[in-house]
Amino acid sequence: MRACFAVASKFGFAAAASVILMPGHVAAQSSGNLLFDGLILDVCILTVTASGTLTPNATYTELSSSNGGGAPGGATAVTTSSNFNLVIDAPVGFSSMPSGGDTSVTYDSSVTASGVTILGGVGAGVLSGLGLGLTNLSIGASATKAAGVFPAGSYQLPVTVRCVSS
Amino acid sequence: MRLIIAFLTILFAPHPAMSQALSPMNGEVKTYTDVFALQLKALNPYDSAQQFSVRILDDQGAPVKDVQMARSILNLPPSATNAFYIWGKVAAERRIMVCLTSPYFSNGVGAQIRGEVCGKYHITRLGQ
Repeated sequence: MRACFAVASKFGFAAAASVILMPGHVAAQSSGNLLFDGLILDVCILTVTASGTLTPNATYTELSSSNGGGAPGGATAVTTSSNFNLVIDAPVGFSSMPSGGDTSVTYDSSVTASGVTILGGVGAGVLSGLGLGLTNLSIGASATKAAGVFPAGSYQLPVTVRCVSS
Repeated sequence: MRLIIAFLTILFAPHPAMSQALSPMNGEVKTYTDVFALQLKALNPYDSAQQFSVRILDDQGAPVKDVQMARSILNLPPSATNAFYIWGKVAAERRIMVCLTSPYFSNGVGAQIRGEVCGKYHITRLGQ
């Protein structure tokens, strides 16, 4: 109460009157409405969970994640609406390779999806609608040599997976 | 001064705190002047610090040079959110796309995978 009077002397009588009258005003109400605001933004959370592994075929003319010992890359997409599309870019080339490793090579990538979105081997550049919720993505990649064989060495093939607002 | 007013217009808009890779991912931006500004939030969903890059494209996917940002590289701690701003000019209306790109993740034996999320924004100059 002493604090209340201190406030009253500092800000004047009008402020003090407001403080004193307020509890009675609330008590006089028999019912009231509460308003709950809500907002869900359109968002897509894309998380890469695993990079892929490329292995050669028997003739060393193809490096692919689908060959024996190979593994696709993994990612998850979580969306809060169905307003998003998924697209995977076609690889443009190795970021690292031994000498001659990128000669006469063509590249490819594809994506399969499970969860709220079902996709089977969709190729690069194709827009696919994402469902609402969690989608698990499996990303495959390959490189094919038209002439000769892949020389021994370490290869890295960059692939981009993209979630785009529609 | 016009830029400051545009910034204030955006900053006064509601921005709920959420965890996401990029927020908002679509939007209608209104400006009273020939400049616009947009505040976006980037989230690092990974459990380790990552360096993300920001690209600004037109609605056809071509890079846009006349829309600026203070920094195109964002270093984000694990699960951290960081606001960033872009600004530029608008005659009557324009559509842009902002993409937040993760680094390539690699196990050293094949494919390098990176993720990218792209939001689309429609900017309109009021009174035109």
